[in-house]
Amino acid sequence: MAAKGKTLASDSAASGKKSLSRSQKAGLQFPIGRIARFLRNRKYAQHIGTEATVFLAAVLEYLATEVLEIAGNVARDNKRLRIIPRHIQLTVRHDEELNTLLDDVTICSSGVIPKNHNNLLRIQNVC
Amino acid sequence: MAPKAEKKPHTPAAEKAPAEKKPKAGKKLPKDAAGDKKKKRAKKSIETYKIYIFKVLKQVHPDIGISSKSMGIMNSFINDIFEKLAQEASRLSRINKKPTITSREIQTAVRLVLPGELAKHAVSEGTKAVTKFTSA
Repeated sequence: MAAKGKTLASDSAASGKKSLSRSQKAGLQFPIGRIARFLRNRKYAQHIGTEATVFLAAVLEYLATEVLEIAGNVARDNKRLRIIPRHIQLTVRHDEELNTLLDDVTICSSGVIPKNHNNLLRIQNVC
Repeated sequence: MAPKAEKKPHTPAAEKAPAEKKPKAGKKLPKDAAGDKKKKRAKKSIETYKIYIFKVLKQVHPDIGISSKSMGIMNSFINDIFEKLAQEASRLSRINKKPTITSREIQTAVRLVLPGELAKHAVSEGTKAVTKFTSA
């Protein structure tokens, strides 16, 4: 039975073990093999370590989890069952660190954070 | 007679036009026939992170969906962070005169690129994944 993973079908048949993908071995959802291929083909360095691809996949998955979790909460707060670009914008701009990371990024069709400048508000007489 | 005289120079041009058209049509026909005989060209597959982002979403919020534009935004976000981390790791390996990008370079790149607590959590997630991978 051919299965996903680097090991050959003959190896799995001989050993009796089902071959696992590298993502399954590391307990990740993001594709370690694809990320390894991207790193090798785009000439970032002459050699790429195997642990480097696992580490990078884990970091990317953590960041995706972080954004999707908060965006899902924002969607639920707005009584929506689907994340739209506005929810991602509110997620990113309200979180200090994500805002720093995506400071120079424009999110399409997302609007702005509601903010009124103090000088544009009515003068409040303080007794 | 003038119109007849005028027609004469036109007719060779008119003859030329269909004559020119004929080889074109002639050239087209076998192509069309070949195109009809051949199956439609298989669409070139474009690789994205979309299915993996969807899997992560279902882990975090099983009942929440995501629009296609938002999925595009998330895909672009992942590609952008990948590029930033890979470029930084490449620069680190070059500065240290090492031809290899190891997990050490990626870890340092994460500490340089990601701000504050995000970097700490990302490094711990990466270390946990590497430990699980090597023990498996």
